[in-house]
Amino acid sequence: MIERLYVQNFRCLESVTLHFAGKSSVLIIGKNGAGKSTTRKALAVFQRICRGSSRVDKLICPADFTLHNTERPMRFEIEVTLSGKRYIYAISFDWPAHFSEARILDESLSVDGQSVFTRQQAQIQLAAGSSFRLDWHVFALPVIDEKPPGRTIRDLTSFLGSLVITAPVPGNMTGFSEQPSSELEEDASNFGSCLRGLLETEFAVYAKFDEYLKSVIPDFSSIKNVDRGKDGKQLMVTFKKPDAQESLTVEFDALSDGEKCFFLGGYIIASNAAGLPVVCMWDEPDNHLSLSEVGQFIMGLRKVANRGGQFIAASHNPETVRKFSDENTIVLTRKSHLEPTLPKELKDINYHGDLIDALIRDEVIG
Amino acid sequence: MSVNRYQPHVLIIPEDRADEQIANGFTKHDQVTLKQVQVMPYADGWPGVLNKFMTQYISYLRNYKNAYIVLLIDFDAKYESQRHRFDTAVPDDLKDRVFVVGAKEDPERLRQVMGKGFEEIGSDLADDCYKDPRINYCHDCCGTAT
Repeated sequence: MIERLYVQNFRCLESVTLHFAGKSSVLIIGKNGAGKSTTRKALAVFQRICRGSSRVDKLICPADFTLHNTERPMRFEIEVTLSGKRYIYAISFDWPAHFSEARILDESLSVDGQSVFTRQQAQIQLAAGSSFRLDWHVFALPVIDEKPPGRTIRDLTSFLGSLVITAPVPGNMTGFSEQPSSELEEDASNFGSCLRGLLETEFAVYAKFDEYLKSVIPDFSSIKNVDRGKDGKQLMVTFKKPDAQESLTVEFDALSDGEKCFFLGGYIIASNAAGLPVVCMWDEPDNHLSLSEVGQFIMGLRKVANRGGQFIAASHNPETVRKFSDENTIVLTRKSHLEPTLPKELKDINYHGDLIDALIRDEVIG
Repeated sequence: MSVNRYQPHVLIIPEDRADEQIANGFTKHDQVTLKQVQVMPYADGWPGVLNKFMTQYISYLRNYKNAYIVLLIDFDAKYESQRHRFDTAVPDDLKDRVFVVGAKEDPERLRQVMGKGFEEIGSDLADDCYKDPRINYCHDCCGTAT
C-alpha cells in the first residue's frame, strides 16, 4: 500500500506531501489545474522507472519543472508498505545549463530505516559496502541486481511497476493484441493485451471478471480471443439474454465508451482477486458512465481495498464525491498558475450544509 | 451496476453527510451486494428524509414491488416521538418494506462513543448483520456500551 507521496518542483506540485497511510481508498478533488492529474503523473514516474525506463529523458522535460525553473531540483519520494516492511524510495533531478536532459542528483532506497543503496550523482553506494558509478542520466533502482536470496529491490520494483495508473481514453482502447501484457498503458490503449495477459496467467479469475461484467451489463455472456492476422488476437464480446437463443457478438473495439470502462473495472477487480493486491489510481473513473451507474461503479472499485488493494480516484463528479468519506477525501487547492498546490483533508475543512452545494459554491476547493 | 428495480433491492436515504458516510461504509462491506443496495443522495435533515419519502418513494414502492427503503435518520434522543412521526407517515400497505434506522442521538455522538470514523461504523454494522447484531446496533441499548 502507498503510505505517502512527496513531490517537489514538479509542475504545480511545488512541495506537496499526500498522506495515504490508513487510507485504502482515497478520492482527490480540486478545481481544474489544481494538480489531480499531476499527482497521477508523479505516481507514473515511479511506475515507469520500475517498468524499466532507464533514462531520465524518457520521463522528465524542462516544462515539468515548476514554473519551468530548472535551477531548483525536482524531487519524488514514495513510502510504501509491503509485507509489513516500510520502503522509502527517493529520487531527485536537476537540469544544469547546457545539458540536453535532466540529471539524477540523488537516489536512495531504504527498508525499515535501513539503507539499501544511496546515490550521489553518478556514485552508487550499496549498503553491503560495494560501490560503482553509473551514467547520471540512468536510474539505479532497476539496474541494481541483488544477490539471492535478496528480493528487496525486486519486490519494490514489482510493486511500483505493477501500479495501475490510468486515465482511460475509450476511443484508444483496443481488444487487439499481439502479445499478452501485464502493464496497462495510461490511456488503457493496450487493454486487449492486458486482459489476455491476466487470463492467460490467472485463468481462475475469469469467474470474477465474468461475475462483475454480468452485474454491470446484464446481457453480457462471454468473451473470446479469436485469431487475427499473423500473430494477433482480437477480443470479441458476446451478448445474450438469459432466456433467449439468439446472441450478438461484436469486437471489443465496437463497444461504447462506458462499456469499455466497465471492462476496465472488471479487469482491475479480477486482477485484485489474483496474486498480489492491485493498487490503482484512476483519473476520473466516472467519465462516460450514466448517473445511475457511477455510485455503484465507484463502490465496486473501492471494494478492492477489502482484499488488500488500494484505490485512488481523482474526480469532479458529485456522485463519486458522495461515495467517499470526508476522512479519505483529499482536496487540492491552487489559487493561480503562479502559486503552488496545497493539499488538505476534507475532514479539516469546514463547509456548511450540503457538500455538493458547498463544492459548487467554491466553499471547499476555492 | 445500477440496482435492478424489478429484483429485490434496498434504497437507503440518509439524513445528512454523516449518515451517508455510514451508509457508504455499510455498502463497501464485502458481504453487501452492490447490485441490490444503493445509497441515495442525502436529504436535508430528518424533515428532508420525510419529505423525500412522501413525495418520491411512496409512489416508487408502489410501482416496484421488490423495492425496500431504509430511512437513515438521527433520533436526536427523541426516539419515541421521531419513531411515531415516521410510523404515521408510512402507509399501511408499505409498512413491511420501509425501515427507519438511525443513531439514538446523532452520528457525531456515535463516532465519539465508538472511537471510529463514520465509514468504519457503517462497515462494522454490516459485519454485525451476519455475526452478532448486539455488538454495534445495540451498543447503547443492550448494556454493552463500547
